[in-house]
Amino acid sequence: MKNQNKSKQKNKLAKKNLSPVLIFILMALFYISLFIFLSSLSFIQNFLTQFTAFTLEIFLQLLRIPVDLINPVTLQLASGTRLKFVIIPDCTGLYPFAILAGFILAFPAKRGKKMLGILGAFFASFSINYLRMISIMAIAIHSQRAFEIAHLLIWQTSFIILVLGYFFWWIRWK
Amino acid sequence: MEINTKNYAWILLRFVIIFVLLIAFWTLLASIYAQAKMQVLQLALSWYNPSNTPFIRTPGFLQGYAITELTLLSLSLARWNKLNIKLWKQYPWSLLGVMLLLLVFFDFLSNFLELISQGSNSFFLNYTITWLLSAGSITLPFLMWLYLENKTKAL
Repeated sequence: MKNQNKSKQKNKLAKKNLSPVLIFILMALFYISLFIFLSSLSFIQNFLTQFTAFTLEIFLQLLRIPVDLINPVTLQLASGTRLKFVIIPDCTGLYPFAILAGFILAFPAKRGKKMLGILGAFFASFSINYLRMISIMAIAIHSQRAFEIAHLLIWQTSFIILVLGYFFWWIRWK
Repeated sequence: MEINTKNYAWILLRFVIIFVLLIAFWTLLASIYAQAKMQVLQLALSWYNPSNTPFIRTPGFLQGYAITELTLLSLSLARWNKLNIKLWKQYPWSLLGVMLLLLVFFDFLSNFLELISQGSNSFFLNYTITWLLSAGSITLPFLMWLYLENKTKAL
Protein backbone atom coordinates (compact mmCIF):
# COMPACT_ATOMS: atom_id res chain seq x y z
CA MET A 1 0.00 0.00 0.00
CA LYS A 2 2.77 2.37 1.01
CA ASN A 3 4.60 1.71 -2.28
CA GLN A 4 1.43 2.30 -4.27
CA ASN A 5 0.85 5.60 -2.49
CA LYS A 6 4.44 6.62 -3.11
CA SER A 7 4.20 5.88 -6.85
CA LYS A 8 0.91 7.80 -7.05
CA GLN A 9 2.56 10.78 -5.39
CA LYS A 10 5.49 10.54 -7.80
CA ASN A 11 3.11 10.51 -10.79
CA LYS A 12 1.33 13.56 -9.44
CA LEU A 13 4.65 15.36 -9.07
CA ALA A 14 5.71 14.38 -12.60
CA LYS A 15 2.46 15.74 -13.98
CA LYS A 16 3.01 18.98 -12.13
CA ASN A 17 6.56 19.27 -13.50
CA LEU A 18 6.95 21.51 -16.49
CA SER A 19 8.36 20.09 -19.68
CA PRO A 20 12.05 20.92 -20.31
CA VAL A 21 11.11 23.00 -23.35
CA LEU A 22 8.68 25.07 -21.35
CA ILE A 23 11.30 25.58 -18.64
CA PHE A 24 13.76 26.67 -21.33
CA ILE A 25 11.22 29.11 -22.80
CA LEU A 26 10.39 30.65 -19.42
CA MET A 27 14.03 30.94 -18.41
CA ALA A 28 14.99 32.42 -21.77
CA LEU A 29 12.24 35.02 -21.42
CA PHE A 30 13.44 35.83 -17.91
CA TYR A 31 17.10 36.29 -18.91
CA ILE A 32 16.23 38.29 -22.02
CA SER A 33 13.92 40.57 -20.01
CA LEU A 34 16.70 41.06 -17.48
CA PHE A 35 19.27 41.95 -20.14
CA ILE A 36 16.88 44.32 -21.89
CA PHE A 37 16.15 45.93 -18.52
CA LEU A 38 19.86 46.46 -17.89
CA SER A 39 20.41 47.78 -21.38
CA SER A 40 17.51 50.23 -20.94
CA LEU A 41 19.46 52.09 -18.26
CA SER A 42 20.36 55.44 -19.75
CA PHE A 43 24.07 55.40 -18.88
CA ILE A 44 24.52 52.02 -20.62
CA GLN A 45 22.54 53.17 -23.67
CA ASN A 46 24.46 56.44 -23.89
CA PHE A 47 27.80 54.66 -23.63
CA LEU A 48 26.89 52.06 -26.27
CA THR A 49 25.44 54.49 -28.81
CA GLN A 50 28.31 56.95 -28.42
CA PHE A 51 30.92 54.20 -28.57
CA THR A 52 29.31 52.71 -31.69
CA ALA A 53 29.14 56.11 -33.44
CA PHE A 54 32.74 56.91 -32.51
CA THR A 55 34.18 53.55 -33.64
CA LEU A 56 32.05 53.53 -36.78
CA GLU A 57 33.51 56.86 -37.82
CA ILE A 58 37.01 55.40 -37.43
CA PHE A 59 36.17 52.26 -39.44
CA LEU A 60 34.47 54.28 -42.18
CA GLN A 61 37.43 56.67 -42.43
CA LEU A 62 39.77 53.67 -42.68
CA LEU A 63 37.64 52.31 -45.52
CA ARG A 64 37.72 55.76 -47.17
CA ILE A 65 33.98 56.29 -46.84
CA PRO A 66 33.70 60.03 -46.13
CA VAL A 67 31.63 60.63 -43.01
CA ASP A 68 31.43 63.25 -40.25
CA LEU A 69 30.54 62.72 -36.62
CA ILE A 70 28.32 65.80 -36.20
CA ASN A 71 27.38 65.04 -32.60
CA PRO A 72 28.21 62.12 -30.24
CA VAL A 73 25.53 59.86 -31.78
CA THR A 74 24.99 61.28 -35.28
CA LEU A 75 26.99 60.50 -38.37
CA GLN A 76 26.53 62.28 -41.69
CA LEU A 77 27.76 61.13 -45.07
CA ALA A 78 30.14 63.74 -46.47
CA SER A 79 29.30 62.90 -50.10
CA GLY A 80 26.51 61.48 -52.28
CA THR A 81 23.08 61.58 -50.61
CA ARG A 82 24.59 63.19 -47.46
CA LEU A 83 22.21 61.21 -45.27
CA LYS A 84 22.34 61.57 -41.50
CA PHE A 85 22.40 58.50 -39.25
CA VAL A 86 21.36 58.78 -35.64
CA ILE A 87 22.77 55.81 -33.74
CA ILE A 88 20.07 54.34 -31.47
CA PRO A 89 20.41 51.28 -29.18
CA ASP A 90 19.08 49.05 -32.00
CA CYS A 91 22.11 50.05 -34.08
CA THR A 92 24.61 48.74 -31.53
CA GLY A 93 24.10 44.98 -31.92
CA LEU A 94 23.01 44.84 -28.32
CA TYR A 95 19.64 43.15 -28.77
CA PRO A 96 20.77 40.14 -30.86
CA PHE A 97 23.48 39.61 -28.23
CA ALA A 98 20.97 39.87 -25.34
CA ILE A 99 18.66 37.36 -27.05
CA LEU A 100 21.48 34.93 -27.78
CA ALA A 101 22.90 35.22 -24.27
CA GLY A 102 19.40 34.60 -22.86
CA PHE A 103 18.91 31.51 -25.00
CA ILE A 104 22.34 30.11 -24.12
CA LEU A 105 21.98 30.75 -20.37
CA ALA A 106 18.55 29.12 -20.34
CA PHE A 107 19.71 26.01 -22.17
CA PRO A 108 20.95 23.13 -20.00
CA ALA A 109 24.71 22.83 -20.59
CA LYS A 110 28.04 22.95 -18.76
CA ARG A 111 29.00 26.36 -17.43
CA GLY A 112 32.21 26.53 -19.48
CA LYS A 113 30.38 25.79 -22.73
CA LYS A 114 27.82 28.46 -21.87
CA MET A 115 30.51 31.04 -21.22
CA LEU A 116 32.25 30.22 -24.51
CA GLY A 117 28.90 30.37 -26.29
CA ILE A 118 28.15 33.80 -24.83
CA LEU A 119 31.65 35.04 -25.69
CA GLY A 120 31.19 33.85 -29.27
CA ALA A 121 27.74 35.48 -29.37
CA PHE A 122 29.28 38.75 -28.19
CA PHE A 123 31.90 38.82 -30.95
CA ALA A 124 29.47 37.57 -33.61
CA SER A 125 26.74 40.09 -32.76
CA PHE A 126 28.96 43.13 -32.48
CA SER A 127 31.25 42.36 -35.42
CA ILE A 128 28.33 41.57 -37.74
CA ASN A 129 26.63 44.73 -36.54
CA TYR A 130 29.68 46.77 -37.61
CA LEU A 131 29.63 45.00 -40.97
CA ARG A 132 25.92 45.83 -41.27
CA MET A 133 26.38 49.49 -40.39
CA ILE A 134 29.36 49.94 -42.72
CA SER A 135 27.60 48.24 -45.63
CA ILE A 136 24.35 50.19 -45.29
CA MET A 137 26.24 53.47 -45.04
CA ALA A 138 28.28 52.58 -48.12
CA ILE A 139 25.02 51.79 -49.95
CA ALA A 140 23.40 55.00 -48.68
CA ILE A 141 26.03 57.11 -50.47
CA HIS A 142 24.55 55.99 -53.79
CA SER A 143 20.85 55.44 -53.14
CA GLN A 144 18.43 56.07 -50.30
CA ARG A 145 15.97 53.47 -51.66
CA ALA A 146 18.66 50.79 -51.81
CA PHE A 147 19.67 51.77 -48.28
CA GLU A 148 16.09 51.24 -47.02
CA ILE A 149 15.88 47.80 -48.65
CA ALA A 150 19.26 46.78 -47.22
CA HIS A 151 18.41 48.19 -43.78
CA LEU A 152 14.86 46.87 -43.38
CA LEU A 153 14.88 43.67 -45.35
CA ILE A 154 18.30 42.22 -46.02
CA TRP A 155 20.08 42.98 -42.77
CA GLN A 156 17.11 42.46 -40.49
CA THR A 157 16.61 39.01 -42.00
CA SER A 158 20.33 38.27 -41.84
CA PHE A 159 20.43 39.17 -38.15
CA ILE A 160 17.46 36.91 -37.37
CA ILE A 161 19.11 34.07 -39.28
CA LEU A 162 22.37 34.77 -37.45
CA VAL A 163 20.65 34.50 -34.05
CA LEU A 164 18.77 31.30 -34.91
CA GLY A 165 21.73 29.79 -36.79
CA TYR A 166 24.24 30.56 -34.05
CA PHE A 167 21.96 29.15 -31.36
CA PHE A 168 21.37 25.90 -33.25
CA TRP A 169 25.09 25.63 -34.03
CA TRP A 170 25.94 26.15 -30.36
CA ILE A 171 23.45 23.44 -29.27
CA ARG A 172 25.18 20.97 -31.61
CA TRP A 173 28.66 22.06 -30.61
CA LYS A 174 28.17 22.02 -26.84
CA MET B 1 8.36 15.07 -50.55
CA GLU B 2 11.35 14.45 -48.35
CA ILE B 3 14.73 16.04 -48.80
CA ASN B 4 18.11 15.24 -47.34
CA THR B 5 18.28 17.49 -44.28
CA LYS B 6 22.08 17.35 -44.34
CA ASN B 7 22.20 18.98 -47.73
CA TYR B 8 22.48 22.50 -46.38
CA ALA B 9 23.19 24.16 -49.74
CA TRP B 10 19.97 22.75 -51.17
CA ILE B 11 18.00 23.83 -48.11
CA LEU B 12 19.54 27.31 -48.27
CA LEU B 13 18.60 27.69 -51.93
CA ARG B 14 15.04 26.59 -51.23
CA PHE B 15 14.95 28.92 -48.23
CA VAL B 16 16.05 31.94 -50.28
CA ILE B 17 13.49 31.29 -53.04
CA ILE B 18 10.59 30.74 -50.60
CA PHE B 19 11.63 33.72 -48.49
CA VAL B 20 11.80 36.11 -51.45
CA LEU B 21 8.34 34.99 -52.59
CA LEU B 22 6.89 35.41 -49.11
CA ILE B 23 8.49 38.83 -48.66
CA ALA B 24 7.00 39.99 -51.96
CA PHE B 25 3.59 38.81 -50.80
CA TRP B 26 4.03 40.44 -47.37
CA THR B 27 5.09 43.76 -48.91
CA LEU B 28 1.86 43.87 -50.92
CA LEU B 29 -0.22 42.91 -47.91
CA ALA B 30 1.60 45.18 -45.43
CA SER B 31 0.64 48.47 -47.06
CA ILE B 32 -3.06 47.51 -47.20
CA TYR B 33 -2.91 46.30 -43.60
CA ALA B 34 -1.09 49.46 -42.44
CA GLN B 35 -3.75 51.72 -43.97
CA ALA B 36 -6.56 49.76 -42.33
CA LYS B 37 -4.71 49.72 -39.01
CA MET B 38 -4.17 53.47 -39.00
CA GLN B 39 -7.88 54.08 -39.47
CA VAL B 40 -8.90 51.61 -36.76
CA LEU B 41 -6.37 53.03 -34.31
CA GLN B 42 -7.33 56.63 -35.00
CA LEU B 43 -10.94 55.71 -34.38
CA ALA B 44 -10.31 53.56 -31.32
CA LEU B 45 -8.01 56.06 -29.68
CA SER B 46 -9.88 59.24 -30.55
CA TRP B 47 -10.93 59.51 -26.88
CA TYR B 48 -7.30 59.50 -25.85
CA ASN B 49 -5.89 61.47 -28.74
CA PRO B 50 -8.23 64.48 -29.00
CA SER B 51 -5.81 66.60 -31.01
CA ASN B 52 -5.69 63.75 -33.55
CA THR B 53 -1.90 63.60 -33.45
CA PRO B 54 -0.84 61.56 -36.45
CA PHE B 55 1.09 58.35 -35.88
CA ILE B 56 4.76 58.67 -36.57
CA ARG B 57 5.27 55.05 -37.57
CA THR B 58 5.70 54.11 -41.19
CA PRO B 59 3.67 51.29 -42.82
CA GLY B 60 6.68 49.00 -42.39
CA PHE B 61 5.86 48.91 -38.69
CA LEU B 62 6.45 45.61 -36.89
CA GLN B 63 8.67 44.55 -39.73
CA GLY B 64 10.68 42.63 -37.12
CA TYR B 65 7.82 40.29 -36.24
CA ALA B 66 6.84 39.83 -39.85
CA ILE B 67 10.39 39.06 -40.91
CA THR B 68 11.02 36.61 -38.06
CA GLU B 69 7.79 34.82 -38.86
CA LEU B 70 8.49 34.74 -42.59
CA THR B 71 12.01 33.47 -41.85
CA LEU B 72 10.66 30.65 -39.67
CA LEU B 73 7.98 29.82 -42.21
CA SER B 74 10.55 29.70 -45.01
CA LEU B 75 12.93 27.58 -42.93
CA SER B 76 10.13 25.17 -42.12
CA LEU B 77 9.10 24.86 -45.75
CA ALA B 78 12.70 24.65 -46.96
CA ARG B 79 13.50 21.64 -44.76
CA TRP B 80 10.25 19.87 -45.56
CA ASN B 81 10.31 16.28 -44.26
CA LYS B 82 8.03 13.72 -42.64
CA LEU B 83 8.25 15.29 -39.19
CA ASN B 84 7.61 18.72 -40.59
CA ILE B 85 4.49 17.50 -42.34
CA LYS B 86 3.36 16.04 -39.02
CA LEU B 87 3.86 19.43 -37.38
CA TRP B 88 1.83 21.21 -40.05
CA LYS B 89 -0.93 18.60 -39.87
CA GLN B 90 -1.18 18.76 -36.08
CA TYR B 91 -0.84 22.48 -35.54
CA PRO B 92 -1.92 24.34 -38.69
CA TRP B 93 -3.79 27.00 -36.73
CA SER B 94 -1.05 27.42 -34.19
CA LEU B 95 1.55 27.80 -36.90
CA LEU B 96 -0.35 30.31 -38.97
CA GLY B 97 -3.13 31.59 -36.71
CA VAL B 98 -1.01 32.28 -33.65
CA MET B 99 1.71 33.82 -35.79
CA LEU B 100 -0.84 36.19 -37.32
CA LEU B 101 -2.30 36.91 -33.91
CA LEU B 102 1.19 37.70 -32.54
CA LEU B 103 1.76 40.04 -35.44
CA VAL B 104 -1.54 41.90 -35.24
CA PHE B 105 -1.86 41.92 -31.45
CA PHE B 106 1.65 43.18 -30.79
CA ASP B 107 1.37 45.65 -33.64
CA PHE B 108 -1.71 47.24 -32.06
CA LEU B 109 -0.31 46.96 -28.56
CA SER B 110 2.98 48.66 -29.36
CA ASN B 111 1.21 51.37 -31.36
CA PHE B 112 -1.10 51.99 -28.44
CA LEU B 113 1.80 52.10 -25.96
CA GLU B 114 3.76 54.42 -28.20
CA LEU B 115 0.85 56.79 -28.38
CA ILE B 116 0.47 56.76 -24.61
CA SER B 117 4.18 57.20 -24.06
CA GLN B 118 4.41 60.30 -26.26
CA GLY B 119 5.80 63.00 -24.03
CA SER B 120 6.10 60.58 -21.13
CA ASN B 121 9.35 59.66 -19.42
CA SER B 122 7.98 56.46 -17.91
CA PHE B 123 10.81 53.93 -17.71
CA PHE B 124 8.36 51.03 -17.57
CA LEU B 125 6.53 52.12 -20.73
CA ASN B 126 9.73 52.66 -22.66
CA TYR B 127 11.07 49.33 -21.41
CA THR B 128 7.91 47.51 -22.54
CA ILE B 129 8.03 49.13 -25.97
CA THR B 130 11.72 48.28 -26.35
CA TRP B 131 11.03 44.70 -25.27
CA LEU B 132 8.14 44.30 -27.70
CA LEU B 133 9.86 45.87 -30.67
CA SER B 134 13.49 44.87 -30.26
CA ALA B 135 13.63 41.59 -28.36
CA GLY B 136 10.10 40.25 -28.69
CA SER B 137 10.18 40.33 -32.46
CA ILE B 138 12.79 37.57 -32.60
CA THR B 139 12.09 35.86 -29.30
CA LEU B 140 8.32 35.36 -29.23
CA PRO B 141 7.71 33.82 -32.67
CA PHE B 142 10.85 31.70 -32.33
CA LEU B 143 9.99 30.32 -28.90
CA MET B 144 6.46 29.53 -29.98
CA TRP B 145 7.77 27.72 -33.02
CA LEU B 146 10.33 25.87 -30.92
CA TYR B 147 7.61 24.74 -28.52
CA LEU B 148 5.44 23.35 -31.31
CA GLU B 149 8.35 21.74 -33.13
CA ASN B 150 9.42 20.05 -29.93
CA LYS B 151 5.91 18.75 -29.30
CA THR B 152 5.98 16.91 -32.61
CA LYS B 153 9.70 16.08 -32.33
CA ALA B 154 10.20 17.91 -35.62
CA LEU B 155 13.21 19.77 -34.30
